[in-house]
Amino acid sequence: MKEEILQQKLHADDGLQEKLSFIAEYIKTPVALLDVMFNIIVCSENMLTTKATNEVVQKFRQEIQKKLKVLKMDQIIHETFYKNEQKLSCVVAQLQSAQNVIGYLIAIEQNVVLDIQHCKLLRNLGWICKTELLCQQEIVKVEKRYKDQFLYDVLYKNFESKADVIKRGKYWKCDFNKAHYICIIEVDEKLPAMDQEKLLMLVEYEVIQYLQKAYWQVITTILQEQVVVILQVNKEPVISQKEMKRLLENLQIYLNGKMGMHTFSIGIGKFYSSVGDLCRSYQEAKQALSLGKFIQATAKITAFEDLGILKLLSHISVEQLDDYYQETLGALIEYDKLNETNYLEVLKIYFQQNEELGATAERLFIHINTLRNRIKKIEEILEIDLQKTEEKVKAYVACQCSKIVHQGDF
Amino acid sequence: MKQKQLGFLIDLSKCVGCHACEFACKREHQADKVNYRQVIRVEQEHNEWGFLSLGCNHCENPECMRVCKANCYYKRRDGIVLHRYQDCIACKRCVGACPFHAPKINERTHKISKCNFCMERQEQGLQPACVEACVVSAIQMIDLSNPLPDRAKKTMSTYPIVQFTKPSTRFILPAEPICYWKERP
Repeated sequence: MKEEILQQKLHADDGLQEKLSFIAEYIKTPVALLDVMFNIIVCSENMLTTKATNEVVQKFRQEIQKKLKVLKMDQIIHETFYKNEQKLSCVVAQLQSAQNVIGYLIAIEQNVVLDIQHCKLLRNLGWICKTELLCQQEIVKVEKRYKDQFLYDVLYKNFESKADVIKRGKYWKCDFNKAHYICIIEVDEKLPAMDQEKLLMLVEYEVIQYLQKAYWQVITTILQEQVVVILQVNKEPVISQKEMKRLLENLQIYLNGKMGMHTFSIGIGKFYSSVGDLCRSYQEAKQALSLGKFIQATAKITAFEDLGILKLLSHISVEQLDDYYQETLGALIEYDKLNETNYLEVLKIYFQQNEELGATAERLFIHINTLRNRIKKIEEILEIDLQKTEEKVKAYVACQCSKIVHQGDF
Repeated sequence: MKQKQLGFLIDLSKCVGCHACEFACKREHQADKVNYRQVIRVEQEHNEWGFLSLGCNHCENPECMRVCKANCYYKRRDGIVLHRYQDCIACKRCVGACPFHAPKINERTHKISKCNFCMERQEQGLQPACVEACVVSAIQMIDLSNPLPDRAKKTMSTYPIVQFTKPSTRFILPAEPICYWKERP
């Protein structure tokens, strides 16, 4: 086929799939356009099933990305990759815009070996795909801005009537007649603003992918450097908090698998059946997330209902909490300092392990009798009896205060 | 895109404790007969350290919104937290829950009312009454989505500010006093 006709066909008004199919037929090799996470956006008609191709491509994702990392803009690779006795011969073009990768074009060799002319053609197709992707991204960005503003209004109850929200929600395929659970996902590490934004967008995308695969109706938005997930549930029967936690645990594992370098924490609000109460659930989820770090430092899932005494302590200023902590456990802190002991640590772990001597001794790598002696000593230093509820609670609350005082910022 | 969040920047190094902000607020909302803003004397080791003008902090995580059973509170897209008095059942839960005691009981309506960041004035392109009244510009209106001066802090060592609601107020602390005499070793 003449070069001119090829170019004409490439620049015709057809959709991306037609263009991909036309080139795929010409080079007798299936072609697919992938997003940054190697999920297929569109593929040629001669491609095997999308699911099978997706699996193959995902398998070789890391190897291909490693090769592409060293490439300059608009260069392509023609390589054969091996992994666990499986082989993938392909031509991959990395689609970049202003140093950012926006997608990949891949041609998977099956019976035909592609030559330089084919690679050139694929590069041209890559440019067209890039333009198309950039246009789509711009449309999505504008649409997302409107959607984010709408969801902000829902989460902060900035609306006049429920009927209005339900009506407006339909534009974004959100059924606010149904009940919703709100959970918030946050990256544990503090990253530079640009990286944080990119990562959050990736997390949002993966959350949608995962939950939709599990047949959940989900609405997401990014607000205050957190991914807000609104899960649609039926009012009857209500999904239990246990089930919700299990689902989010699986989601957390999935996210860690996809973005292994980072850890994520999740906060869950209480269940409310009316859209008017979503603002409350959102505030609860945020509180669960920020106070959850006093229970577990990273990768935690905290429900608002699990916060217990922390809910009350959070209302008190750090200075006042520090006063209480020093007042109650001051003698023990002083003793530890003078004698280089760790009785305070023992007391904290004892409470963490629900006062179970066996579990505490195991965590501290000491014999149970040694632990008994240490607890006796703690009681002596603090002049308290840990069998008495009032004194025990006093010490426990002081230990909780110390977590807030020492871990600092909310 | 960062969400707009209006707030206050309180410069303690400038504030002379003249209470002009307090009176301006009272005059602006004279029908309510409520003090939405108060100037507090801040002390450090029994020495006067500065003056702090506090009103509603239009928090990022408004506790008033969480505890209100009648769902009266809402947050506008510019971050201002407002109260719909029509829906208020005067349960006073928000009064106790707010760590800054921003919601007040309105003696006239017997319902809750709170600082609305002089919303009506802002709509006319004016600054809030407290900001405009301050002769030394110790209180300013800021947008937290924009860069702030390096000296702007979230907390103060001398006055406890509860942080879990993420108040939208920042503080510029007074400089440490300079000692002009030589202290004995």
